Amino acid sequence: MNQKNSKINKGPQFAKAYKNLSFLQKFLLFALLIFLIFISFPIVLLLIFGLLPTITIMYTDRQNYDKQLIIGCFNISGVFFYLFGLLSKFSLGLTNNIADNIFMLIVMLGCAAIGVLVYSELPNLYAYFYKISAQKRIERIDAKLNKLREEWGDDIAGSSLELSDNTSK
Amino acid sequence: MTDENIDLNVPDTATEVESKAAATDTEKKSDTKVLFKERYEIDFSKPLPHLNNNNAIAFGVSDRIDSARKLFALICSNDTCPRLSVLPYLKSIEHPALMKLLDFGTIFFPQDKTHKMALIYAMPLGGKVFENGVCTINFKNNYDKFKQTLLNILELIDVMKSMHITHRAIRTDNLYFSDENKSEIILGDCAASFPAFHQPPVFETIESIYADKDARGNGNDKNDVYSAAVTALCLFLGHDLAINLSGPEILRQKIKKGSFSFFNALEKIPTEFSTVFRGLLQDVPSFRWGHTQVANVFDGKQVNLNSPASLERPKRALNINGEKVYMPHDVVYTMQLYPDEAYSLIMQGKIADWAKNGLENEKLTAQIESIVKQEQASAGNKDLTIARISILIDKLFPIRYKNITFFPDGVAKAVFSAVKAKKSIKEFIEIFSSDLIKLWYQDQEYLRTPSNFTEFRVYIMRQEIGYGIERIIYDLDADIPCISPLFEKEFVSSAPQVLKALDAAFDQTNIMAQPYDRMIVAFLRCKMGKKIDEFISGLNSNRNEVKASSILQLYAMMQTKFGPTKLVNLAHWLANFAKPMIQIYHNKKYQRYLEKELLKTYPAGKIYEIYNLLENEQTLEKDRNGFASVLNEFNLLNLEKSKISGNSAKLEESAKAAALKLATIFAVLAMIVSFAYNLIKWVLQ
Repeated sequence: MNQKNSKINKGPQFAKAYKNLSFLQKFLLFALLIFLIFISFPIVLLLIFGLLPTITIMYTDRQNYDKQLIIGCFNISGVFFYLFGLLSKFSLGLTNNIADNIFMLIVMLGCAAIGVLVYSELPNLYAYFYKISAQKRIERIDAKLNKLREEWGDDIAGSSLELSDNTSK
Repeated sequence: MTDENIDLNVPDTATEVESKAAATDTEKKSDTKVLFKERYEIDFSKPLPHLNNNNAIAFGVSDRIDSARKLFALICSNDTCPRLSVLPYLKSIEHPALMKLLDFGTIFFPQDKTHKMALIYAMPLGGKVFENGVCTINFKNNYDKFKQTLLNILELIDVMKSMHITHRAIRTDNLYFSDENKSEIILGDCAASFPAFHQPPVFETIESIYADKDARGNGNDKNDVYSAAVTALCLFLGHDLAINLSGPEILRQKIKKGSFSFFNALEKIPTEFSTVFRGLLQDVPSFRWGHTQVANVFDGKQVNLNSPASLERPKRALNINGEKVYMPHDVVYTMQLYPDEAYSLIMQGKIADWAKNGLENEKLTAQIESIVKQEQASAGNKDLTIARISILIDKLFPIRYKNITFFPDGVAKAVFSAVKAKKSIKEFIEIFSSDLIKLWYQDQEYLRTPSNFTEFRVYIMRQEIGYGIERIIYDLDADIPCISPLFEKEFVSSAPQVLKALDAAFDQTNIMAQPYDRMIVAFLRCKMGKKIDEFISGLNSNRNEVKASSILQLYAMMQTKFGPTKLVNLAHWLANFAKPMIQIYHNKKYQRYLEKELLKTYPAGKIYEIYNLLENEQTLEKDRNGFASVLNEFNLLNLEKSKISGNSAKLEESAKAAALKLATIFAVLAMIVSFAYNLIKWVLQ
């Protein structure tokens, strides 16, 4: 729980740190960012297009770190397929290709979709199987209790009740 | 008190009728013979009605060892139990004036299919001395013979006194000739019935007549001397006394006139023996003569008749219901005749006044006044007050409480009779709850209060099995056989007989009945002592399995100690009764096993095997331990079940959280794998 809180509170911490910076520092940081965007525009473009689902979730569901992490990880897994290809043939001309290549977009966004699917359905699936397993366990316990009753009589249930009564008292 | 008309010319009509009936019955089963103690063959086809006595039926007996010996058996009635405590002494007595008792024991009586006490006697060869109320020998011409006979009887009384026993059946129809020449007169049986139960009032002392027949008690030698004197008088006269008076009338006349005068008025007592009879018929027991005084008189020595000052008539009379009475025993008798009048006199202080001015007895006056004060202070109990004051006035008289008149040593037999007759015993319970018996014993010269008397009140107060009036009667009187309703056809006089009798009493149709009752437990407690107290406390438990265990353990111990080794019926009964003991085992499978084993075990008739099967300490311990561990397991399973079913929503949440974690790990792993794959691919390119 604390861990979760600490993760959720990271956003405001960054914002706080950013606020503490001086105007010059902010300016230099901004300039550095513009420069990086400029020199790696195709990569930035790829990341903007590829990580669009993650960015959206980060904006819309800021507090849900698990969701961000799961979808983000899956999303970035899809982006990695094209990010390394871009590094080996780095040129501004590739920018058009990225925007035009629908298959590439499907892979990247599809990976994010898998993440969404895992996030939303895996817990339900897990809970469903857990429920079935609990039901089976109860059945096994009932069978065992009946067997004990048959072997030792209903007294055992009476004694057990007495015992639990005493315990509750 | 006896109230039947006494006609001594017809000695014992009831007995005759009974004997005729018995004879008829016996004829029907003429081939029935019972071997008794491997020696005496009792032949039920040979009834001897002339020897029937004390409500016992006589049959011929042949001795297998000495066939020339002539014997007969008296089969005692179970309605008036035989005097078991005197039997061993009687067997040991060899006296010329007593019929020889050779043996005794319980036998099966085929006529009514019951067990009864049989007494084996030497046959009186000369028959009865009195036939139809007439003496077959004339003593008027043979004074020496008469003297010798009287002295013999008195000597026998002394012999019995030395053994602390009494005869209490000295009367004319109980006299026999021991030899064919009819020279030796002997006294017949005295043990087949209650003491003095069959004595006609004429043969009994004033006190004894006043008591109920079944509550006369063993008495003492003075009672026997009195009966012997009346018997001797009849012998001398040559016939029974022709008295056509009721028992109460005989009592009244004896009280008013004194015994000697009463008999002298009936038949002129010969002057030669007038002194002897006067001495023997003294109404005050302590002044009554015995063998020594009579022998001295017969030897020509001078013996003074006692005439104590206490016997002198008091100066003042007491007027009860218009009747003037002087003597203490007369006062007591009249008080109890008119209890309402007597009570009113007591409360008015007139009895105390008479004790002070008439008897001039300050101690008695103070005692009476004390009782009156107590009576005035309390709620009042008329019968008890009269009884207590009567005891104080005349210590020799029997105690009378409500409709029961008894001597304390005969009260147990009175209870026995009441139980047998299915009458209420409420009055007896009241008697034992009161101090009447203690008060009676306080002033007795020759008698001591029974040692355990102080416990009787405790027994009465306790309602548990093993206590109550049942315990008292067995403690008080060793003659009383076990009178359990289960033993209607049995005669159980000792602890070893109980198991056999129960075995015989087993009724398949009533198998659910308890194989014991209050009477049996009280009887066993008296016969076996403190060592069975632990079982008795078990029998008083509310839990059936504890009761079953206790009785099984008790009977198993008795079978081991007394035998017999095989008691199939009782074992069957107990196996059924002991079923609750199976329930003490928790394991159902073992319970079924025990049920099967019980069915296999009981036919052997060994109670201890049943007990060992059902109460095996090791198995019980194992079962307990098993149950404890199973109980623990049962509780854990129950706990787990309730945990699962009670917290399902919470558990679902945690499952989802766990799944989310798993999904996160999976996502991170996918990312790492993708990164690694593409990096390697990029490097290779």
